[in-house]
Amino acid sequence: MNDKYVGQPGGDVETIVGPSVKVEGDFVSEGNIIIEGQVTGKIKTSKQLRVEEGAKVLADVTADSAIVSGEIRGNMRLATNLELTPTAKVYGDVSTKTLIVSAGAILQGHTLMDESEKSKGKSGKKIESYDENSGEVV
Amino acid sequence: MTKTPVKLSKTHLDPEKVRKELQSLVRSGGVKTITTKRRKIGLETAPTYSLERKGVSSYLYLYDSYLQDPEYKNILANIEKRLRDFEIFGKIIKLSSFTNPRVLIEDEMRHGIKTVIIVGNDDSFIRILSRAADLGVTFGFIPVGQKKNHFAEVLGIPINEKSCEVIAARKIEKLDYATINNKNFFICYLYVPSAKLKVECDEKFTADLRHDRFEVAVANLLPPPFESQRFQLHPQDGHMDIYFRPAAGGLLSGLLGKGNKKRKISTFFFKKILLKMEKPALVIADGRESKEALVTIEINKKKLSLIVGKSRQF
Repeated sequence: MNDKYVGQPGGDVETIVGPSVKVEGDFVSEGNIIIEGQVTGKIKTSKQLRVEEGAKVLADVTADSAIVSGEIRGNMRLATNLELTPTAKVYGDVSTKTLIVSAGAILQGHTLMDESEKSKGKSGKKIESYDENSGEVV
Repeated sequence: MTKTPVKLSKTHLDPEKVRKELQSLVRSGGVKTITTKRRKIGLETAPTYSLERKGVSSYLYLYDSYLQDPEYKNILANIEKRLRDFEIFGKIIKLSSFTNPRVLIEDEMRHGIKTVIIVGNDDSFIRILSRAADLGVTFGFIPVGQKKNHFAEVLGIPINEKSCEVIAARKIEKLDYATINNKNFFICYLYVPSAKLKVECDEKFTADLRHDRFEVAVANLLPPPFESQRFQLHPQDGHMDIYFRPAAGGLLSGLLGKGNKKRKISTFFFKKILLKMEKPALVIADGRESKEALVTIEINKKKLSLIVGKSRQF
């Protein structure tokens, strides 16, 4: 196992798209997915998706959770949480329960926080857009 | 094979005890004959008491050619002795490098052979199964010698005469194997050392690997040549893993340390895959080499019956 992923929530990696690989079509997996290359089409997994820095995804994404360091052009639908690291670029609508955005990340699109979060004492938010320079919600 | 009715004498046997004995025999696949059981419970052997005489006539032992070396003489004698003790001894055929095991097994199946035991090492195991995996018989393996016996570990089979206990216990697991281009099989891995290709996976998505030369492997029972850490053994789930990475560059790029960063491995699992090479490329499937432009790999889920040990790795 690649050291980078050992001990992390997505430790039991099943699908990896390497940096020099282009994948086209419906990419469906029951396990974790790591994307370091290019994917066009649709991505669906019941576990975690990691989009590494330098990776390009032109696809609608459905996953349990996602950590994004690369670029995604498409709508994202996450069951639990979405984390955008400083190098992340997301152009599309996002639906998730928890959203973590690091300074420097770009998020352009509607963001819908799941209503079921209220049951945990948190209120749902709808973010219209996100300023990449200040890191503030506009 | 004729089955004769079971006759029990009330003066000698507790019917309940015998019923349980018979049930346990049926559960264990009927390997141990009733004769053996009768000996255990202190009765004389009675041929009319046979439930299912799988023992002598239904076992075929295929000895690999390297076992003709005198250093294996004693080991083979011990193995044969143990097999006789377990009453599972059968016909022995010594293979030569020119023997086609498929034709041979098909011929023996017509004479009632239902279990084929491969006596040899990893090479023997792969060579026979890659040609005869679809014949519908149960396969067993007696690993002989210390060298090239990795499968023994995977299948939980001890080496030399100790393996006879596993064969006698007859714990059968059904494993996946793959069909290549609807004609050949592999159960370990298929390897393409270097090719520009397009991969079509489960008719759902394609990976375009035509911009560079790639090293490709499809693995089932053994890790591919260039990746062992990420490999997970799951030979019964109806999926196989494909691994690929850019092929190694020339000597110059190796000396300059270029390319290592870009040689990251990609992997995903599939049920059916199509490898479309730009030009015919060398394909090695379980040691058998050929040049192919198009390779279709389909998984046959749990179609291979194999005798395994308790300490198997899956």
